[in-house]
Amino acid sequence: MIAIAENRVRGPRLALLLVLGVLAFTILAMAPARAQSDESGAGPLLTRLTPEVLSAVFPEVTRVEMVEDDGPIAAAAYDGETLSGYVYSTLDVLRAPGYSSTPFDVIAGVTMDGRITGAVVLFHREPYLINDARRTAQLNTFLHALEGGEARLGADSTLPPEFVAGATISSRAMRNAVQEGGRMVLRYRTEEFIVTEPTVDMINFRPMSAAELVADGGVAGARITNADLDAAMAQAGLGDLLPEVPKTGGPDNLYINFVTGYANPPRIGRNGTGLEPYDHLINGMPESTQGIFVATLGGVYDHRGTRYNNLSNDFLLERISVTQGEHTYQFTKPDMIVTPGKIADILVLPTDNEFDPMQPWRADLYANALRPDGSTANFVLASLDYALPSGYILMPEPEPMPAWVEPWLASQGDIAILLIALSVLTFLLANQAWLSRNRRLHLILRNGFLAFTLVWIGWTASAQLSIVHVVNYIKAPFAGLDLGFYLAEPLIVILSIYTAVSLVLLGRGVFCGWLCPFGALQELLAQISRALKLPQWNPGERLQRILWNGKYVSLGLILILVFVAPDAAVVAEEIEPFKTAITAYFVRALPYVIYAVALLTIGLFTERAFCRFLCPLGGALAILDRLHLLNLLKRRPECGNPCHLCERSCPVRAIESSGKIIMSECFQCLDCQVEYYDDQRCPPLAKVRKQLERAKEFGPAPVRVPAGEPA
Amino acid sequence: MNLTRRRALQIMAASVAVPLGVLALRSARGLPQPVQWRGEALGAMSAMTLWSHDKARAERAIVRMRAEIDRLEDIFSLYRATSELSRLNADGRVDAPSRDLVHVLDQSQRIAEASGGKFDPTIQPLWTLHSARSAPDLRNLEAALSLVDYTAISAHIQTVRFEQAGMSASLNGIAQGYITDRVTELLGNEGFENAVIELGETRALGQAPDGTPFRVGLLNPHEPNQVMEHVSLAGASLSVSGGYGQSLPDGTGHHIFDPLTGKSANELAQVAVVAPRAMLADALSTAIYVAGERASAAILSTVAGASAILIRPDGSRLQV
Ligand code: SF4
Repeated sequence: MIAIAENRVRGPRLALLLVLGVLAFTILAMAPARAQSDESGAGPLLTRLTPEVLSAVFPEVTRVEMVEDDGPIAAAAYDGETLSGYVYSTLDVLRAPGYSSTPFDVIAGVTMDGRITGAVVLFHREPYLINDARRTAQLNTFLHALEGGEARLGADSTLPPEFVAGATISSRAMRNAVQEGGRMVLRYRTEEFIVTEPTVDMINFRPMSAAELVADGGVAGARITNADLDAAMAQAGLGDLLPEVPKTGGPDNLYINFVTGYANPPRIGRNGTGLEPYDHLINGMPESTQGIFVATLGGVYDHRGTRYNNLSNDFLLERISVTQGEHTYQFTKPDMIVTPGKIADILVLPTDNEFDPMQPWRADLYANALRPDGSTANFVLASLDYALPSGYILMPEPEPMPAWVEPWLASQGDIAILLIALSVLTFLLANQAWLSRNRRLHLILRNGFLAFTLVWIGWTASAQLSIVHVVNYIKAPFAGLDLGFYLAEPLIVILSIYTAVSLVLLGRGVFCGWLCPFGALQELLAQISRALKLPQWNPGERLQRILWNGKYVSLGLILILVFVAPDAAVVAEEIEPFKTAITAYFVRALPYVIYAVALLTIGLFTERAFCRFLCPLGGALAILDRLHLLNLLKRRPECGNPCHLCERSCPVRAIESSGKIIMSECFQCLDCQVEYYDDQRCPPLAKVRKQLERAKEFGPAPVRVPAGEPA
Repeated sequence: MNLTRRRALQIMAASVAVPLGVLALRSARGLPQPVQWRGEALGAMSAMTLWSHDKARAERAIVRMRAEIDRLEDIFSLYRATSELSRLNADGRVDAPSRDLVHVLDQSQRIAEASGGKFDPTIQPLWTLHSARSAPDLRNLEAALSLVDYTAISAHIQTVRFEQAGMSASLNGIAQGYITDRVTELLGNEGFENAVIELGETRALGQAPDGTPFRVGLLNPHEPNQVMEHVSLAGASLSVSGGYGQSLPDGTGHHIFDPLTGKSANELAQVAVVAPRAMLADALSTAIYVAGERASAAILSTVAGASAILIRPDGSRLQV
């Protein structure tokens, strides 16, 4: 609801008393401080308000004038002839002590709607002085930013930032003083209203014509022509009869121009009826009386008629009814507040009604048709649906957005790109048989996606998932990290979710093989290396089994250090070259760069050596890989015995000589699947193909289709 | 495998190609640009300035750091009545405290020990006494002094408590130092290389993007609107203690007390300490400011890599 404290008009004076109480108390409590500050020479407000200060605290103001009343000391600030707001000093208004005994003096400006326009700090004994332009500017930015609710992000200037160390100042006390001072100055001189839930706007008023009110929806209108009248009568089955009030002119002539609306907002009720009837509704009736505004703006018909004057008719205003939900309201003469000289009325709703102005309602306008026998038949001439437009409803201050929402809004484009890419990847993995059947297509799409992962996900969007994220997620329950800490990186959040889901469905390979930028960098380099026929070296099966454990060791090391020696964990996390190679584009200290380059160089000769033997993130995913539900990679009985084609085609040697794919080492690159579907290279398939060809040449022969072959 | 000459050349060429490519990539990027945030942390004006090639990434990192600062304020802020520290001061104990609180109390006890009690986290009763508007009488002073005893804090992961009723802790500088350290380290962990974090204390992450140390102006204690000299800061923290920051309502001095006498320390006008971590720098500068010039070398020697600039009341300067 709305709490109004119009101090000198009416209403509860509690707010005023409160303000005065606070003031009196403040002044009493600060008496010594006042003496001190007076000693230190704080003159009257206007003398402290030099043009320099004024332009800083209230730009666009042409003139200031002390306000001569008993309220908190303030100067009215005018832009030309309009009052823009007030300028005040926290020293005068609050005598606020910070940490220090010397009350600081902040001069600030406040607009009529309570926005702080600027603040300048004038200290007497403390280090901040107005002639220190740079730091005054900083403080101004700071006060501005806080007044906006939340300090915003971004660089203040294009100049290189400067840093100064020294006494820290109590920004908090200063900000509070500026805000509280502004509130006190305003509260004394303006109505203050606090809206805590959507509330009908009873505050704002400006003169508006009927046409403007219809245009903004404040009133609903119906222009009914003679043709409309005929239509309404025909609809009611009275098409043969004549209306009680005869029409004039042709079908296009106006019969009635009728408007209606919710009367309580001054823009509607006062503009519709004039000051006196409106004032009667608001001030001459019991508290919270509601009214419906109705008016006839033209035509031969009107909404009143004459019978409402008749006692015999119970003074019923028979041409109007208002319906909301199940309730229909009718009105009698005593319910009408009429406007002299206009056919415009406020129809007062009964005080015990359940009428809710926030909900839509309907007004029905009736007319009578004359029967040949002289009796009348009532019919609906027009039904007007009405809903109070949002412009007439005051909304409470929205809760400020949590800070993490900002990055989501700011990176909508990036989020869209990533989601598209993930959809493409999902499509490719779901249709991997189709993809693998075409060697060229696989080559293009696979390398294209890797290039995208490296260049866009990695270098452009800096969305390299890393062991640091995993560690943060693991630590979350212990460290009590704020949710915003995680949510502020939209792409990382999306990638983490996708990786988690794909890990459960298919295994670690989806992230490691497709979405890891550093992995993509290694694989692309390895492709070049293979194309250049550089020698490749891979450990034997036994040695490889041992080396595979390296990544679990590095993972274990990091996890242990995180809990026993967090500082060392930070160093251990540098096992990952991701920061160096991806997020920092190799612009880092030399040891890091050398390490990353060394790993890449090794990768030229042993593909993805880092991923397979060292990567802690890969280790974490590979451990969880044991959980995966689906296995889409196809095998034949001949795989491993006697055939070893796929085994050799696997760039990371994830296929054992037995033919079994070690899923926790598989990167889902699908190279083996390309071989699997290649009827030139896959021996069992080639054999079938040859048999089929021979069959074509020499007639049918018994064919054994190897198990696992899709029809 | 038989290494032919051709093979060997191929391998060497490939091995050189990678670093060359990396060099090309590095030089393709220009200098990183600064992104700055100004706001409030623990009631003091604060700022974070990060250099990054990717402005959006730096901004997102700042949002995340603000979440972390907010969490730490819930632990250390005396402005929040429900913070762990406020609860500790009100009730004398906190059960199931955060690791952060235990860590900071533990560290502050160590430094108190090393400084011979010249730095003491339980100084709050003296501050409360002096923030009254009249000069304290001797009896009150003694009562307050008896409540200043860092050894009477027991900080364990299950419970943090004071062993004496009426004690209270002000972790002001040291908690700001801790927050500064946390944020700096988190940013470093995220791969930021150049940043200046000013959350009550100043800490530089790495150096300025041009490869030189950051230059932080040091205010002249006698003319606090003037920068006296610049301190070079790279991968280190700077903490300044001086009496001019907050003078006391009772007019007897300023906010840095000698925990042993209960009076404002006045032997030095300003102490600036550079140390690896902001929490240490703060404790050291406070301790030296209280203990004075003669004890400074001994106090500094407790932290490897710490140095100090002392300004005497006559304006002369001493580098330790
Ligand atoms: S070749 Fe096959 S087994 Fe090897 S990584 Fe690729 S998909 Fe996995």
